[in-house]
Amino acid sequence: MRENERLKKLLQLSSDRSDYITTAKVIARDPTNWFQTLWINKGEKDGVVKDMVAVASAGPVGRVHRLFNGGAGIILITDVNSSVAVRLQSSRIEGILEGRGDNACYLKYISKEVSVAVGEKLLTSGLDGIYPAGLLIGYVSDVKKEGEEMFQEIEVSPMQDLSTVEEVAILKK
Amino acid sequence: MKKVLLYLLYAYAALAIQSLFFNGAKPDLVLVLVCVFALKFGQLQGVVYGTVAGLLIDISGGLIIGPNVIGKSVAAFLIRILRNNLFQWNIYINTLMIVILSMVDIILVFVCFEFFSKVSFSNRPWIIPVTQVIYTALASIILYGWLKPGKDESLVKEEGY
Repeated sequence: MRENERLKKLLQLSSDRSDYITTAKVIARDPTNWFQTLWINKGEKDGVVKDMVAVASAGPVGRVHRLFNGGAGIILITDVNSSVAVRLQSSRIEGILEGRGDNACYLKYISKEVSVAVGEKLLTSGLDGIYPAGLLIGYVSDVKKEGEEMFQEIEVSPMQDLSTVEEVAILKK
Repeated sequence: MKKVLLYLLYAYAALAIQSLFFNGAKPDLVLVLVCVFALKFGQLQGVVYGTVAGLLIDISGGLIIGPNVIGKSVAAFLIRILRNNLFQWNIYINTLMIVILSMVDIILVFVCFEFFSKVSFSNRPWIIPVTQVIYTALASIILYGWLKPGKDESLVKEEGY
């Protein structure tokens, strides 16, 4: 039943979005602590191009960073080398979502004057030219305003549980 | 040859286990296998196995080839030197050495990525490698009884027993 619901949501995505390219199955993951990547079974011959966005049933998971004829590598939003332009849903303040290297992200460059609540949702702003605007990408899981830093330390959990992704939809950038 | 193939199969299984069952920080089971192999079968064989196992990891990563090759082969080299200079080997010494070599491996891989690739891990929180070292130490304790790294089969073979 769960697989059915997941696949139904992906199917819905394919009919709702004009930037939909294809759906792919996750065939492998990086086994080390250094990278947060997935490998999918669709590549250049299926119309996939570098920097296209991969989206699962609950939200974006990453973008295409390596491309082969029959497969591609997706760098997840939780990878340390991943950055996504986002905005807070309520205040519309923009920031950068950077991967932490495990199963969470940091929201950077939010001033201490801005009030951010735990549970607040984050949307992609589209300003990076890669992720389409308006995708619900994560929610605030912890906020720290200690120290003499200019910006708050905001921890973000992705909407999609990245450890359980089995299929992704690829969207045009 | 058989033992090399068997241990390569173990390394492949270890990588699969790491990617499937661990969310967040993962133990370095391949490092444990490389150290066990070097302890059991000798320094040269351990370095060769470490090179091949490291190559397997670097290829699966898809970026540059070399960081894990260097990390794992150095770990195999060092653990054998340590073993040759200690009178006894037990689970406590084994675990302590695995902890030290895990840190050496992480530093070597980090330096290789910083200098030879375009990716940077300098912003990675310190808790991830610390958790990795702890998990690797736990894995070495659990696997100690099964893999028996204290039993030096290379020494037995050389002396003709």
